[in-house]
Amino acid sequence: MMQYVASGLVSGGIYATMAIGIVLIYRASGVINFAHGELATFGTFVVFACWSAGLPLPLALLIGLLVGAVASPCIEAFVLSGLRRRTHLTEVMATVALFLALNGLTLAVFGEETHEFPALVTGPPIEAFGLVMSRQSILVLVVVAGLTLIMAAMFRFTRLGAAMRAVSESRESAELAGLPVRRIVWSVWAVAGMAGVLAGVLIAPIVYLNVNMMIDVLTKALAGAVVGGLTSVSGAITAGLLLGVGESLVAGYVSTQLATPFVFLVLVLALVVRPQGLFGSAPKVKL
Amino acid sequence: MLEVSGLAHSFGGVRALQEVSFRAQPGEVTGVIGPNGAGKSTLLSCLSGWVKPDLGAATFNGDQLLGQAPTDLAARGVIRTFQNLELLEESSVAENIALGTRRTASAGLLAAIVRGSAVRAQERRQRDTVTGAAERLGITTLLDVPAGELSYGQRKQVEMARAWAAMPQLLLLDEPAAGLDDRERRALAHVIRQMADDGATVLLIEHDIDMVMSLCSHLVVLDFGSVISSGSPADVRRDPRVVQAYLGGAA
Amino acid sequence: MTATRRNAAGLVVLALAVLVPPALGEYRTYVLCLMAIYAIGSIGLTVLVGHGGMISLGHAGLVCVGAYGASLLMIRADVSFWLALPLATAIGMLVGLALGYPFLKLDGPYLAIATFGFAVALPEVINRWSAFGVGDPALFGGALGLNPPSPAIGSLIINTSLRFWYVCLAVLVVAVLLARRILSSRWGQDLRAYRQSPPAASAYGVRTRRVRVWSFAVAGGYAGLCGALLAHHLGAVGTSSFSLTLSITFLMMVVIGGVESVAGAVVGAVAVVALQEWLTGQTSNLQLWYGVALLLAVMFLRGGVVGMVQARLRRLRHRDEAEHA
Repeated sequence: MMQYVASGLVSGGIYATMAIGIVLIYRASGVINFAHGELATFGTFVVFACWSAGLPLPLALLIGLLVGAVASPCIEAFVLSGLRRRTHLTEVMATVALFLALNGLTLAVFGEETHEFPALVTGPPIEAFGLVMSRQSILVLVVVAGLTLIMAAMFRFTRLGAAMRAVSESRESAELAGLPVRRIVWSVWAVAGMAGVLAGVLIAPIVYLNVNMMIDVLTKALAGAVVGGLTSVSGAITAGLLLGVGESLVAGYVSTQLATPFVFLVLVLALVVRPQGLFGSAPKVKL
Repeated sequence: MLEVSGLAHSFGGVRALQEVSFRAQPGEVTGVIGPNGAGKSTLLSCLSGWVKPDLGAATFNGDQLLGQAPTDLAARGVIRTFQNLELLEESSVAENIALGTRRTASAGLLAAIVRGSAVRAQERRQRDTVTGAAERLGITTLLDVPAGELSYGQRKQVEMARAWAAMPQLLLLDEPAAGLDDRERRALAHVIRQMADDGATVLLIEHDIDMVMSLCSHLVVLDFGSVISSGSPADVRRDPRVVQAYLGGAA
Repeated sequence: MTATRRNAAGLVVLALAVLVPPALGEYRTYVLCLMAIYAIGSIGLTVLVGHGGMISLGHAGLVCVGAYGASLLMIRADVSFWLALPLATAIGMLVGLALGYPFLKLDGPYLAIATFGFAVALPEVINRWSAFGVGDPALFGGALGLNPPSPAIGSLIINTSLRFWYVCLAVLVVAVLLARRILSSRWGQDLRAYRQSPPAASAYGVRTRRVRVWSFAVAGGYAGLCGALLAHHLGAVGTSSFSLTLSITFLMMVVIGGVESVAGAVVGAVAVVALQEWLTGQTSNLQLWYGVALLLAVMFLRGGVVGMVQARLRRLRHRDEAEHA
């Protein structure tokens, strides 16, 4: 039982890391970025390419994060801002188009082979409290815990965090208050992009590096983001972790075949029963 | 006849309406005036089904209005306009006006597919009504133009044509003259007059005092959510409370 | 374009569609069939997305329902192909209703996620059907998929692309005429009113919830019909044919053709299948070019191909009128 929970927390931690990015972007731009997963895949491939070329892994990771931090805001700056009429429909279609295009770009640049990806930490698994966990798994948990703290600290204590909150509450009043709204929005996308690449690097040693590795993760992260309320970072983290644990328990006690359908069931139930999520505020009622 | 009695509503502690009671007669334009924030728009939202008030009653020809969905009220001839017009921006003027005929038309999917003689007759009636309304407002040349491409004055005309096409029993107008020039205001007043003459009970929320004074046979003055005066335009103009609360402020 | 000119143009296209294919050869006719089949599905999405303004990333799921529904009816219940077509349409409508109803309150991005979930979940469920322990574990044919029998008219078996083309064309013509009728009706007006201003629609008596749910049913019906034809066209029905990419491909057809026009849906399907055919010869990386094409269409093709042609014609006519005046 505890073993299932522990391994569920690991995959849940990766969903949570992805879900953070989705929520941040949704708060900043009101867009579901369906391309978020593909951006992460691309960044992870960059890390792999750098590492294969002989760079030390930490440096390769840094370069990958940088790619994520630069490429992600470009989606907002060049694609979404370039839409002649910015409606939910065109925004969704644009990020969906980017989903395909980025998937194709990764395929074109890095090929369709599956690679073994280096774990950030190596060594024999650690046994504690009757649980056996690989060092990579423990790292995932540490990273998620760290990200949670960093996000909380950023929103609470930094000026950027306060500005982000202001922008996500009302773009207009933030503009009126003289905040550099566009730069703030781009920063949010940059942070989200880095979180995405980080999630990719964390999961790649587990599922192996492949062009399509993030599609499944993105779906589950979306489910996590929705269950968490789409606007709440802490909600997304909690929901992502819970989803991972639930999925692992279903796989362990019911059938591995039903683990993924379980996630969809949760997603649909969440949307139908409680669209505002467990932690989100109720969507504003339109007159 | 519209009868409102003891209407009260508050939004999170702010009392938008308190004990509002008045009557409006068919064939007449009843004006609702008052400073900004006096509760005029809340009143209109209550009567058209968008807001369910905390207390009170409102009946039209004996039927209860409160607690009904806007759709159901529309089906019974209670039609409201919107301050921001809510036109169908991408649709043609004709289709915008045709929305007005919705309350007298059925719109089943099966009927659309079979398109029997009853449906075709309904389509003909709809076209005639649209043309008639466009003629009344003088916008027949604009029928094929998307509403989003029109000037503000023209958009207002489309909105009035749409309301006209609905053949309302009770018409609730939310600041229809806002943003119009003098000539457009006179044309608008003429149209409102005609709709009342057709037998509609018209409730006019408006800031343009001249228009209200000339059009309305009865006025209700709201301030801080309460009726502070009501009566004929001449009576209201002389009422010291009104002069102090509203007209005085403007003078 | 005036109605008569449009009808004339339609008849010319129809005449070409009847007369030309015998000269095209088996493979090109096979591609033509695919264009017609996708056009039918894309008309359904035009109703939902273009007129109703609702985003669906799950259209392929509904097509999948139609394909499996028709195949199962033909294989398990011995239903003829001709009866399976309307039945698959009905099944598609029912599933559309079943989707539309719970998703009533969802808008914009939420609806996109919900339909996305449906599109990804349905193939998963079919692939893992045996694990659910409900009904026959081999119901959906497992990894091999289903092989529906060829349709026949009396002793004439529809086993060549040319024969099937005439079937597809006939169904497409009916589908187009029906869609035009639905969209020009009071119901279609209600749907457009709902898209552009839910408050105005309600204030004038449109039953917005009802029109919304039924627009899902219409989309589902067209998708079901498309799926039934696709089942025969593919020969073998497996979940890999109904991936998320197909849902996006349908959106692409709608956007490229022009979201609000039935003709646009057909033009979009023709364009996208042609693009697909052309790309297949050049590259194996379809998604890259699909993505780029969709992105360009969303960013720059306002009103789609048909919208642009209409705008050009309108300008030309205005110039004519100005010169005559």
